[in-house]
Amino acid sequence: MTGTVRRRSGAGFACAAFTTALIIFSAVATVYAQDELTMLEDTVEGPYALAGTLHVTDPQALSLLVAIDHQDADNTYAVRLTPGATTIERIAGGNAVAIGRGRAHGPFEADSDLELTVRRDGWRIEVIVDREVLARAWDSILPAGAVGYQVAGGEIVEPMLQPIGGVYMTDPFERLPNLPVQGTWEDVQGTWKLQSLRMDEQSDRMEADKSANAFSYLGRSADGPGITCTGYWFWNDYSIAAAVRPIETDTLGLVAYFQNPENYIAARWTSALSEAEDADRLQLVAVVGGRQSVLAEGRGGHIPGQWYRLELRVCDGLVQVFVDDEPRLAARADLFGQGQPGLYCEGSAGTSFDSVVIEDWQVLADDFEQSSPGRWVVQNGTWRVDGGKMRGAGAGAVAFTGRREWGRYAHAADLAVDGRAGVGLVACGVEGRYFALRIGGRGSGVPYEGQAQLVRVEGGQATVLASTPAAVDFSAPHRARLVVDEGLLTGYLDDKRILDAFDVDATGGLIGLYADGGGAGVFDNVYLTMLPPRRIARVAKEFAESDEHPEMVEWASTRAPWIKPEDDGGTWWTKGDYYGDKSIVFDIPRVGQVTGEVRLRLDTEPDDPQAGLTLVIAAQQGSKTLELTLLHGEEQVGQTTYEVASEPCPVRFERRGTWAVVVIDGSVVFNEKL
Amino acid sequence: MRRLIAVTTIVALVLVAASLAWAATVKIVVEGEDYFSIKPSMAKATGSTQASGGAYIHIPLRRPHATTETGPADDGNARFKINVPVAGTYTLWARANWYDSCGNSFFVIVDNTPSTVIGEDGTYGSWHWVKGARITLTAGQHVIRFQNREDGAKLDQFLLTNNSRYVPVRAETRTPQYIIRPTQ
Repeated sequence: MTGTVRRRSGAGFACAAFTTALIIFSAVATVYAQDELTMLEDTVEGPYALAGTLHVTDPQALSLLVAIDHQDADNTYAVRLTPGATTIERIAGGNAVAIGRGRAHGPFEADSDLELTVRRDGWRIEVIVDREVLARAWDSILPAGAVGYQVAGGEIVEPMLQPIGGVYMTDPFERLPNLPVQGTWEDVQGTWKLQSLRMDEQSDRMEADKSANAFSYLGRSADGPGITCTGYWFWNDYSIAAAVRPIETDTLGLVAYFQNPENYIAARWTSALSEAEDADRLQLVAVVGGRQSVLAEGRGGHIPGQWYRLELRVCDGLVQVFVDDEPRLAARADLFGQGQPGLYCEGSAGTSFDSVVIEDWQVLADDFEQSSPGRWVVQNGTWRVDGGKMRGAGAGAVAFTGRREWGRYAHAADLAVDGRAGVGLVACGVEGRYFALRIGGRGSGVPYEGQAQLVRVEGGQATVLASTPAAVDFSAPHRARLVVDEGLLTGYLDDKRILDAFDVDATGGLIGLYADGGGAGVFDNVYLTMLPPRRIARVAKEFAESDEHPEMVEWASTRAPWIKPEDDGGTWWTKGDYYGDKSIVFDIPRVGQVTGEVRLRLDTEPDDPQAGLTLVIAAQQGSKTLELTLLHGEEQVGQTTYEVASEPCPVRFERRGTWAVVVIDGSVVFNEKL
Repeated sequence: MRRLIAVTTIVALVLVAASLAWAATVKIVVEGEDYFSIKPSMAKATGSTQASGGAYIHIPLRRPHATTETGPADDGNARFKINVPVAGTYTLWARANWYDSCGNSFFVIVDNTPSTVIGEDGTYGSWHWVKGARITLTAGQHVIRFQNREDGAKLDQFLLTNNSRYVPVRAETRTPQYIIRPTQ
C-alpha cells in the first residue's frame, strides 16, 4: 500500500446542523484517493475502535492514514500518523479541516511493533499509539460510515473493529469461597481471596446471619503492589468505585487504564496511622515502564477498620479521585487512553474491597489552555480562544459543543465580562432551539441588567421562563452552573441556587456559552458532568412479606416499608421521611374496567394530611379518560383530563425544585410552580 | 470433456471458497428465542424494551427464590441448532441478565460434551455479555443447550466467534444464515 496522495481544494462544505464558522479554522485540503484504502469488511453499529499492531519497516517513510466514518474520499474523518505529526481532519464535501489537537510520536524504529487504536464514539476521535494518546478531537458533524486505512513504510497486522462503550459492571462478591470467580477478576499481583465473612469478631463466631455484609474480596501483597483487574483493554471513559476497608495500616487504592504490571494509573491511599514516609496522604500516581510518578496528591489518610467509598474516574485525559463522594484529587494525563480497571493493595495485613461498580463516565472539561479546533462550534457572534480563555462577543452570541444525545447533566463555567455585556450558559441545544441561564451583571447595559434569567430561545426569540435579581460584578470571574434534569432547569451562581424553571422541552442536547451586548463574555474552566441515576427506594421482599418475615417489618430501614392503614380505604404512609426532590412512580392497571379514585400525597404527614401536594386520579368504568386534580394544601392548582393509551398506564408524581410535576403515560400534564 | 471441466471448476470454486472461509472471522449470533426446542421450566418472555428483538428466554423466578447452591429444581432447557461454517476454536458469549447471586448462571452443553457453567459474575439486573468456554467445533451442524442451573437467569442472545480478541458490547445483529429452526 503506497500512499499516493492527491491534493484537492473545494468548496460547498455544509453540515446539517449548526452550520457555522469554526472558531479556529484551518483549511488543509489534503484528500486521498479512495481506491488506495484498504477497507475493513467488518462493520460495527455504534461506537468502535480500530485496533491492530502497526509494524514499522521503514521509519522515515512511515505514513499511516486511517479513514473513519468514511462515506467516500470527500466525506470522511482522516487520521494521519507520520514521524513528524499526528493529525485529525474532517473532510466534508472535499474540504479538509484540521480538528482537535495532536502531537508527534517521535522517531519510529525499524522492525518495531506498536499497538495502534483509533477510537470513534460519535463525538470523540482518539488516536492511541504505543500506550499514549497522540491525538484527540471532538466532532460529530459527519454521519457514521466505514473504516479503512493505507500505510506506507509499514503495515497494520490483524486489524479489527471492536465495539466500545457500554461500560457497566458490578460485583458485590457474593460467591462462596470455593467457587471460581469465573474470570471476572484477573489477579495480577499479590494474593486475592473471596471472603464469606468480614474480618471482624463476627467472623470468629461464624455468625454470618448477623453480618450486614458477609462477602468481600481481600487483597494482600507483602512485596510491592497487589493488583487484580477486570473489564477489557478497550474500556476508556469510566469510573470505578468500591467500598474499601483497610484491616490495619496498609496502603490501598484503585487502578485505571491497566496495561500490564508496569503501566497503569492508580489512586493510592495511605493510612493516617502508618509510620511510612508517605503516610496520611491520597495520591494519583502513574506507573510507566515500572516507574511511579505522582500526578497529584493531598493530605488525609484512612484509619484501620473503617469502610470508605473510594472512586477513580477517567475521561478525556482527566483523572479524578473521590472519597465518600467528595472530590479530592484531579490531574491531567494523556497516558494509555484506555485499559482495564482494577483494585490495588500494598502490605500483608490486607484490604477488603466490596460493592464494586464500574460504569461509563462522561465528563467535558475545557480550560482553553490548548486549542482544539472543531470542539466549539459558533452559532452566533464572534468567538476565539485567547490567553487560556474563551472570549465571545455579539448580540446573543452562542458557541456550542457536546452531543445532542446528552440528557441529564450539570454544565458549569467561570464567567467574567470584558466591557459591558451579559454572560451565561447554554443547554439543551437542538435544531433552532436552546435554553440559557443568562446574567446581566452590574453595568452590563443589557435589557436584563441586574437580573439572572432562564430563557428559552427559539428562532432567535427569547422567552423568559424565570428571573431573579442578581447585581453581580463580572469584572472578576463568578462560577455559574446550569443543571438540566428532565425538564427542570436550575441555575446556580457561586454554588448558590438562584432560580429554576420547568419546560417540557428541556430534556437534553448540546451545551454552550452565551455572551450578549457590546463587550465580551470571558469563559474559563468549562466542566460538564452527567447527573447520577436517580435512586429508587425499593421495598425488599423481607419487608413486604410480613408473613414470612414478621421480625423485619417493624425493623431495619425507615425508608422502605409502608404503614398499612387500620381501615379499608385509608392512607398508606411511608415510614420514613423523604427530603429534597422526590417522585412517586407507579402504574395504573386496567383503566376503564373499574371505577375508583386514588389520592397521592407528597411533602405532608399523617398529622396534617391536607398540607403539601395532593394528586387525585379518578377513573370511571367504561372510560379511558382519567380525571386529574392537583392540590397544594387545600388550594386547587390544576385540573385536567387525560385519555389513556397504554396498558398499564405509567404515572409519575414529582416534587422537583420549586415545581410540582405530573407525567402520565409519558406526557407532562401538570408542571406547576409552587 | 465438458463434464471434466465442470467438475474441475466446481472443485476449484469449492477449494477457493473453503480457503476464503478458513481465513474469515466468523460470528454466529443467536437470539434466545431462536431455540429449536424448549423444555420447562425454561420459558420465553416477550415485551422487553431492553432485550434484543424484545424477547428472551429465562428460568422464571421461583417463590421462594432458591438461595443456596443446592442445584436446580429441574432440567429445563433450550436447545439451539446451528450451522458452523468453519471448523475452529470458538469463544462462547452470552448476553444475560441475572436476578442476583443465586440467579446468575446457566449450564451450557455443546452436543454431548460435559456441561460447563456460564455466568456467576456479580452484575445483576442489567443486560451484559458474559464470557463462556472456548469450544472446538467442526464445520457443520451442532446443538447448543442452555439449561437451568439457577432460577432468575435470563438469556437474550449468545454469540460464537473464532476471533478470540473480539468482545461483544451491545446487542449483536442476528445471523440467521447459521441458525436452524424447526420446519414449520
